Amino acid sequence: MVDVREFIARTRLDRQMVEAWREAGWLRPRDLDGRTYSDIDIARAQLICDLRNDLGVNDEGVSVILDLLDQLHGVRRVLRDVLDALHREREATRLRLMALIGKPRKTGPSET
Amino acid sequence: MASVDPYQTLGVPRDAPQKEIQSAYRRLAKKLHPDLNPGDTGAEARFKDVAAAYDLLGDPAKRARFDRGEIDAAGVEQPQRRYYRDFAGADGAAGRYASDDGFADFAADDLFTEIFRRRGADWARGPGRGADVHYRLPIDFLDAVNGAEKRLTLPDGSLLDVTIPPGAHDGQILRLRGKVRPGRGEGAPAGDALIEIEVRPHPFFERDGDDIHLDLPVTLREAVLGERITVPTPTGPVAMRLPKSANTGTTLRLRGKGVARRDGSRGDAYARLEVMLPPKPDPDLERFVADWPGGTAYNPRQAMGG
Repeated sequence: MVDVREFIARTRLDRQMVEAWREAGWLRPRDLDGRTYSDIDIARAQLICDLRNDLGVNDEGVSVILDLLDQLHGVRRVLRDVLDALHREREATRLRLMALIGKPRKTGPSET
Repeated sequence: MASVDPYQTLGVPRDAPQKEIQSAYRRLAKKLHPDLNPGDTGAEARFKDVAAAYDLLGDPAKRARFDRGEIDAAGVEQPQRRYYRDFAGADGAAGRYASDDGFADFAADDLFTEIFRRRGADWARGPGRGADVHYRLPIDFLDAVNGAEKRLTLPDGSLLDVTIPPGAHDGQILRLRGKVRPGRGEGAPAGDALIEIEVRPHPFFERDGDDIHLDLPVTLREAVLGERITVPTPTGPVAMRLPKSANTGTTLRLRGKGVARRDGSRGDAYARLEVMLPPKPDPDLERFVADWPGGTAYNPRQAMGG
């Protein structure tokens, strides 16, 4: 957990930039006032710097990429939850479910 | 990585102009940046090599010193870095950024609704997001079976359009994201409307999972002669021919005339026949049955000792 001053020091951003990124929704600090940041915010700020400086992505592009990344991580988490739950099941149940996953439904419309 | 030639890593000739080095780096970094490849553990090592090579060659002064042999590639070893994906993949803090928009359309699915619920408040909600609001929505049996569009008037007078998915069942909860109660502060996201469906019973259809059951009255003539009749189903009337001598209790299956499923197929409808005599005594029928020689040959109560 770091305060905004240390956050600025570690990310080598300036205060206005942090504010602008927060307003754009790129950064979402732990509290509403934007005083408390943590390691995930620092790593995210570094990613944004990489995108803008090294990869030549413009601001609109950054928003699109962050939005898709957030969705991707959301999907990955739920998928992992589901897999964890699957692993806690008995072997027989697990095998039965795995056999069902990805198998077209008998009654479903045929694939073309 | 000390032994690797940075020019080779970036795939540029030794006399490449600075501009070419930059675009080569960008091309590779877009492909290899670990945060753009959350599931590819190999991407990190390759990206590290590329980043180190660019650190050396992207700066004309450093590049000149490297070309003169004053420094080698080992001098620019990158410090260990923790990428965003390392945090986003962990539990806890990542909840602030991870979003469930990627499967918001699954919200009509019970299983996912349950996962959302358990994920709780920390999941995918920005600061100040409005609270969820629960509503009950009574709908007709056939709207649940076939799917429908409904308009809900909220207590504050605003209107909410709700799509009932085909095959919706009683007690199912639909989540309409960001439809109610603006959050705190400007631009804060609104809360979700959670709509619990209440399915009203149908006068003659009953539902069992994806299947529909109904009792179907038929006349004596239709049953005995096996005539063509019309059977009501959730998708509309269907014409079919009864088997000859169809009896009370005979059940006919109408394939694919049941409840709509998510994948577009449908369950089946089952019509159980009930042979009905005319409501009033009919002298002609009485005379015919009295003269009918087969009338005493069959004893349906034999098994009861009658």
